[in-house]
Amino acid sequence: MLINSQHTMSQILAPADRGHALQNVIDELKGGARQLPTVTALRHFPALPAHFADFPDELRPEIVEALRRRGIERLYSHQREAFEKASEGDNVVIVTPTASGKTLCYNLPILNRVLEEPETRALYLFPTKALSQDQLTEVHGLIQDIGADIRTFTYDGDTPQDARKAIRSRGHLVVTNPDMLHSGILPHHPKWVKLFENLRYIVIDEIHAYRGVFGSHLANILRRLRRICRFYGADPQFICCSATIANPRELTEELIASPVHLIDRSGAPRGEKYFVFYNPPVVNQELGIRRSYINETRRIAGSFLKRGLQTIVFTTSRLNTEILVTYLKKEIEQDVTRRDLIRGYRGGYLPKKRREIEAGLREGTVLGVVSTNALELGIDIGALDVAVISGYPGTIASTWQQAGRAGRRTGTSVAILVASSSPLNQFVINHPDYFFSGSPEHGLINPNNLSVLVDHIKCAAFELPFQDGESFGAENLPEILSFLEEHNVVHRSNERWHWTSDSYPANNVSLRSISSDNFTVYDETREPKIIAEVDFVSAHSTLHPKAIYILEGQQFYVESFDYDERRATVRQWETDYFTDAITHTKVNILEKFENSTVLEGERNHGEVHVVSQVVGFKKVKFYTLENLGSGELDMPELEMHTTSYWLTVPREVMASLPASSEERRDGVIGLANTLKTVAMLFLMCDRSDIGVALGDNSQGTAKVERGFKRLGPGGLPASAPMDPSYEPNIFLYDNYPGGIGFSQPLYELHTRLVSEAKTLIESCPCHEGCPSCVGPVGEVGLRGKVIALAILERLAAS
Amino acid sequence: MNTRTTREKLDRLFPSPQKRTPQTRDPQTRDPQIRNKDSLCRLEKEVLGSETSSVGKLSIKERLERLVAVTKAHPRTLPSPPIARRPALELGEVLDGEEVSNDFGSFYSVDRIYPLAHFQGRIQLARLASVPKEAFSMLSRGDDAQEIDLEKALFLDTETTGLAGGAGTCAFLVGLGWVENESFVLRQLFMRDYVEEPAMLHALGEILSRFELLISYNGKSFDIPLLETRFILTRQRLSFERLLHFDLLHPARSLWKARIESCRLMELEHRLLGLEREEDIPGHMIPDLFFRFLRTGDAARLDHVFHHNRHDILSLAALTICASDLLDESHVPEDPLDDLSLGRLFERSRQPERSMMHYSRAVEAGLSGDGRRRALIALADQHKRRGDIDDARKLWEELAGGESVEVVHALHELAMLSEHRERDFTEALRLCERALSYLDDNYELTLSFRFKWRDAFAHRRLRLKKRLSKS
Repeated sequence: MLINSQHTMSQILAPADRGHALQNVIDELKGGARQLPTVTALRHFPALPAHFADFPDELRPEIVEALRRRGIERLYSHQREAFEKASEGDNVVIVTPTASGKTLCYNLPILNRVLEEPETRALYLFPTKALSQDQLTEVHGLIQDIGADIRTFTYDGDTPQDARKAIRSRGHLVVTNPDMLHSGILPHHPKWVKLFENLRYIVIDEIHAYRGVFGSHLANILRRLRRICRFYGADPQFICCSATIANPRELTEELIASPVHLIDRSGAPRGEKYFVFYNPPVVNQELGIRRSYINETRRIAGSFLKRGLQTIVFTTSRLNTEILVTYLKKEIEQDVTRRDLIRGYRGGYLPKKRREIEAGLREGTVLGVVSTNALELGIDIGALDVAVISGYPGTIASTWQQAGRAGRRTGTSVAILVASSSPLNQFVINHPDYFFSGSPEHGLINPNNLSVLVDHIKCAAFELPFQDGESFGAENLPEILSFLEEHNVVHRSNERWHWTSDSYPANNVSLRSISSDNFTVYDETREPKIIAEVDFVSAHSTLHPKAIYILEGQQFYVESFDYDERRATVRQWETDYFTDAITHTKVNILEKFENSTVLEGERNHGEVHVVSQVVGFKKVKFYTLENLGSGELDMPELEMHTTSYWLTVPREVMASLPASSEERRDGVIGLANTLKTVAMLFLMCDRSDIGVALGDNSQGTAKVERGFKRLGPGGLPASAPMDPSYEPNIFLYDNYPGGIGFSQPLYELHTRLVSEAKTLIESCPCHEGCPSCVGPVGEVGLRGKVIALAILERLAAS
Repeated sequence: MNTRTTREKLDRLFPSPQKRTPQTRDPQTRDPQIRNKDSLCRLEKEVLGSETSSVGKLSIKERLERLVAVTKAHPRTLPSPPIARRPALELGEVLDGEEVSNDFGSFYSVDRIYPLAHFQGRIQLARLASVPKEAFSMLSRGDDAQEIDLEKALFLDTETTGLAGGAGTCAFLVGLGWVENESFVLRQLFMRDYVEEPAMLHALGEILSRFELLISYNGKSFDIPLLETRFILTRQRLSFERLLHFDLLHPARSLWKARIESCRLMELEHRLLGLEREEDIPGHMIPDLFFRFLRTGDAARLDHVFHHNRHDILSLAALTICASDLLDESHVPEDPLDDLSLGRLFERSRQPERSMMHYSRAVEAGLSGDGRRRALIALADQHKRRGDIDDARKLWEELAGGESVEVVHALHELAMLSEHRERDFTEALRLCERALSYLDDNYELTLSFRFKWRDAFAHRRLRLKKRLSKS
């Protein structure tokens, strides 16, 4: 047991008593850490004092007065620095931890300017609607204290139609999100004349959220925004905020396409903090199965809650949130007086309910909250005593954000990471140094990804005709425009390119998913109704005929898949199995950009052509995972040109392995699985952002099944034995047409990639491979783990 | 490192679409809105220059995709698509307009003068002169328009490159109509290319300055915001705020929605003016015809767009007359539903006397069914407001014996009457029970309606029982 949980109290402790209760917990943890292998790390971060600075002379007295009334006598040093740099006209990015008063960093210079020049306009961008609301409340409060006529509005999908006109002409501060800017504001810019003519500031908060595809889109939206500003004679400056990532300045500069002044020394004080890594104990050594991390989370969180410590639990899915709320309510809310001590929080809750929970946390009427990452971003919930992170959130940056939810500016707090059995979780929990001393992830974007770029060039042409000589992004604009003219989308006349289509291009560009060309799922069990939308690519593997489609625990049998109509028809059906699609992926190398030999391996990156096709499916029994048979399918091929990193294992290395050709192949499959896991760690990306495939370098191509699963009896024929010239290529490709910028960084990271892969496999306690390292035995055979490690011995420095 | 040109990358990224086997579909089940499929197919074949016979069954998106595919197959270097069966036409061959120049450049303008004796369907334009000054303020409930002379009114309708709105949608043809020297002048301003847009808009601004009232159909939410956008984008500042604006769409809805479900201009024209458009171009094809003219200079069928636009303006004028006719007290509408609508209109503009006149006339004219019940309820309501309780009661009692939602409303009124005015709690309770059993038995009422009223009556019943037990 990590923590004794005989306590039965569960009323919220007075602040003065918390220190003592926490100290008890910490002492128990320290004791536990010495005895139990389940605690893999216990780190102590001492308190840091505050660095203050006086109010700047230029700050108007009414603002100073308002701050004083709020009990603020001085600024933190980073707030003053931000004010000064912003006042000098520089673009600024502020990187400071949670609860360091970053909103004042942009609100002070902007409100100051509006007071001096009331025509001034500012645009605030937040990644989600919830954050916009929160920010609005905050800035409203400050404006009221100042007592000035500064009008602030949110403008998003929820804004009533009849209020929109007034906001467009009268709002000083308009708070919105990238989606609304993209499809609701920029295409209608003439209605916003007043805003664009006077736009001085653009605030982008949580800028670390804009990475990968989403960030690449935002960079292009900002290109469009600046183009429109130029039309109206405005040249706004940017004030951005970011959580800790490895490259905040670089990411910001790529997003806004201008130099940026970086402020990363926080002047805010920090309380003492303990950070614990907890790995649920192994219950089945052979299969590498651990005790359920959900149950472990419940137990750990429960023990804090029973001591009356305010606790936040972060989960990785909405479902887990609901499960844990149910468990903890049962455990804590044992009588009526304790009702609503435990709350859930996730997307899908109504705004009113969310506000109520946030206030309850701030005021201390809510003891515990279980949340998805919805509470990770800067919504004000005060600071709590304990954060329990149930499952690694995927990135170092997010983990620190979540851990930062516990911890007041003074006093002690605890954060605990409870690992699941996924490879990523197991890697992190067993390598605390990777987390604690490694640099956080890079925010990578590729604003010149051609398919993203072309989408936004269309939107930009819709907004204002392109002039000859104009540029947009790094590609050759005239060539793109000529291409679009051939498709009758634009028309060139008198040195200008006009939009000539009766469509509204912004509607066809979805910022947050790969393609807007979704499939709809019709449930025809009773009255036909639409129950879900599935993105274009996943539709092929989840909605093929005879598939079992699962939605919120309910199973549906797919009766038909209509490619042209982009719809699938399903019927409710209770079965004891689910289906797993078998995909063939073929990768052709189109062009090598760079390659070199490192030790005995060869690293490459370049452009590839990926063709994948769902060719069959397996029926898998729930719980036992028995294979119940399979079927063949003929689904349309999916084609994509993208960029890829790949590792070539020379045939000499392969030939020298003491193994049969089947076993060698298993080893390569295990290696590929591991490399993907490690790559995801480095790139701060989702599982679906990177594709993995195997190829034979002697033939220049790759053809494998997804997950490289061996096919059971009655399945498709297994591959023929390999010839001795087999020289495997392991491709890790950007799963987005045109590439999203992962390949070159992976090429640069090659040495770390292979050495971390080696460490991951070496330190896994399983015998023959498990889902936490190379993959389960069913996938990689009995010697997959050994062979994979043998290959890595040759590729990685020891 | 990556030496490929943008063009090569584009061709790789967006390969030519693969041929898919077309799905068999039942043509009858698709797009029931298209009335005349054959003519549409023919028209579309001409526009697209393709031989396909299945065009009428495809969605607009598919048609656009096809349009792209076809033009791609026939590169622009050729003077005209080789398989087009009719020769390309110059603008002058299909239209009899002239080039007009001003400080901003030139554009194309077409004038038609109609004698006021001209009939648009069954309405003669001469009757524009008899539209009363106050008609506009009455119809738009004093919204915007004041009393105004029709000589100061300008009818306006635009043809645009799309319906989506936003900065990328452009009005390439602006149709204007006004009364001048005993005739109806119809002027169409046309930009032959985007270069001509500033000149065309400038000319529009000059014409607008001579008028005080704009009359449009859906102009408030579509044409005028669009034109405002175009003025800003061509860096000409023109404020429409000086002008009063009468948008016939809104009064048309209140006047005719009761009997003409879709208040589209074409539908009203068909039902009220008795017009049937022949060879009219479907609205969704208009942008494509303009784009083709822009790219190839082929003006074929562009005359249909001009014709369509003229037709819209003439119908707009004629329907304005129809609407003002209804305001004339002595004018008895053909359809008693119009009286019901007029009753509403005057009720909302707080003219109870006038409103009751229309409701009564609707009932007397033999209005039946749903319309009659709605008229009776409204009439009873007016009686109640005036304090003529007995008149109101008569109507409610009639309604309570009838059917549909009005039964519930009537029983509610009667129950209130009994409970509060006459303090006959037993009778009130009886009415409550009657209403509750009606709500229980009538499944054609919507669920939310039944729940809402069940609650109300159950609450009343409880209160009445308490009162009865006390007394």
